[in-house]
Amino acid sequence: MIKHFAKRPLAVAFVAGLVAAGAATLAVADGEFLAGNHDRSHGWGHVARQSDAPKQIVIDNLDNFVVSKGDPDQAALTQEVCGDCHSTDYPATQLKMSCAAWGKEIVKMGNTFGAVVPWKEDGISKANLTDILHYLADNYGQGAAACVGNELDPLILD
Amino acid sequence: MFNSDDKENEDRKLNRRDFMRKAGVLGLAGIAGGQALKAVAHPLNNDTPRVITAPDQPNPPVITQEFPIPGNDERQIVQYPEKRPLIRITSRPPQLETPMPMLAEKGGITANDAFFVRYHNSEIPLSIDPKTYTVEVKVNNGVYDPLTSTPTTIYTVSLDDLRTNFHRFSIAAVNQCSGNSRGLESPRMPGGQIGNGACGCAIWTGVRLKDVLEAAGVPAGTQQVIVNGLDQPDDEPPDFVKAIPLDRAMDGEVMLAYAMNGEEIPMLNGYPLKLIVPGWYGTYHVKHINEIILSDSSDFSKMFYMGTAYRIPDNGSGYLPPGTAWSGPWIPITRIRIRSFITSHVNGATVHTGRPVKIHGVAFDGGDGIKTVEFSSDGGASWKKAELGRRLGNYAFREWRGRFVPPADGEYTLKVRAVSNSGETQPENPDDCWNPNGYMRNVVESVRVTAVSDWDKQKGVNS
Repeated sequence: MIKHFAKRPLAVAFVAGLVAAGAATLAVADGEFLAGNHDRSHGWGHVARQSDAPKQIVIDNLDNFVVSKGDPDQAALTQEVCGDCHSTDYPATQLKMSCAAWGKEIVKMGNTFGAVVPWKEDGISKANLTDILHYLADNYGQGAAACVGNELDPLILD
Repeated sequence: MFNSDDKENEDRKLNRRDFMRKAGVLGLAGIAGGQALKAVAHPLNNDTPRVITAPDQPNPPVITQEFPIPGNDERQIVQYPEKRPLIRITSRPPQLETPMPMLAEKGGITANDAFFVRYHNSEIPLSIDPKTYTVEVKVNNGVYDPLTSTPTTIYTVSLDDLRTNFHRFSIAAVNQCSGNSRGLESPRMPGGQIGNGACGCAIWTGVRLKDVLEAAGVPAGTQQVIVNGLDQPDDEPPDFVKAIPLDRAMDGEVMLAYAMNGEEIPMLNGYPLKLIVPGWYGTYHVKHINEIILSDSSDFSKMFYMGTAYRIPDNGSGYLPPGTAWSGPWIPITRIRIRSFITSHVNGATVHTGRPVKIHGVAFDGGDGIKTVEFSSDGGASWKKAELGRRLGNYAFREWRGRFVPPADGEYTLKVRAVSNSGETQPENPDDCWNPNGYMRNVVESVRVTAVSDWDKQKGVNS
């Protein structure tokens, strides 16, 4: 393997310049402000030896995707259709949106993000998605009463 | 688990939670005291996975007024592996926000375990073996489409090669989410409802992208450098890939980082290799890089996160009158707009009447460097020059500090604003930095504190 050294002596000068600049301005520091020595604690030119053992994290115990609000059947349907990609906190953290705005989101997921393909494969119909729209509008929005029925018209599902 | 075989993928779809739990338990079998947040001690040469877990947190605490998102009372504080408890935006895909007091605790640097997290895809790598990790440099002719293009591999480099055989390069740079502060916009828009804490500054160490591309050999006529990582969409949705014009990719600053503040990069921040594009928004900072594609086309329309998402109105400013639509052309978001934050105080904090109050924070921009920072303790009626901290280069957080003496009990609105070396300033009015996707908000920030005469008693201080 060719060593790609020595093309960039500037980098050394750059770091050295920063160290010098740091030393010059350190005089203004007090207390917790500007505490710490960057050159050692933050890795300018120094990198702790890294393990070559495989690294694995476990986050399944933190996954928040259980839909618990509202009508149980609609909740289960919503979880089945939306839950592969989104946790419940996704709708829960949005501002309570109008039915029209929730309709736009479903259309966007379907047409733009390509979710219509798995929906078709799983036999999800426009009627199913309308149920989901009503569920989202009721439980994470301004209510399904304002739905007018054309919200999912732009969806290319057929 | 990532890279699992098809059978496992099917199992996972049938019952994701059971499958994940099973895998997690198996992975933990060899570990003493499975609640460890840091990897257990291990020899450097070892095939035994370092399994890093976080505690079960069935009822995480909720925050409201300190970091307010109007109309949103469900922001929980949750601890993830290799992280402190942070503000969780969503769990799938993981999005974690840094509480502002943790933004720059030490010398203008954000700690690795406090650094924000933002993924786009639900399938993220949870296990990576650095010994077998490689990056492939490929060439694509014509318009690159992640779904249909079949680029040719011209060079493969291992992580070990990158760590040992390439010139090591370090730079301090801010990584800020394009949609940082989206939850504070008015009118609001869908998307990650983030406060101000989806940004951070680290010293990144690794190799220049230029050096890797030169080792691979850049074909004449190359227009774009396209970078892909291991995170994947669940099914049909588009993969997350980003494209950079060749001249930026070869500028000697854009780099592949294998270390963050001198340590291993946390998994959720892109271990073992992360793209750093100093001065540009976080969307370009691709995690878990495994593929670099040299394209002879400058057309990025088939890459969803270039051609459809992460775009701003091509109207000069990138901003629109609040609530309005834009029917003109759109361009990819690139350069960070100047910002400044107060990190010493959160909304609702109390301070002592009649005594000096130290306030501090950070300022940053897209690479010109911070010239001056001013702060106000009277809601912007009057401004004082802040003292600037150490300069870590033009792409880094620049610390600032000041002090004021509240003359009487009552509420005070603290504000901060910065000016760059090129004269860029922050708007006073949030209406001047709105767009339909909630990108690039950079309004002059405010924090409300209350001065009280009996502060010592309230804090239980005997003085």
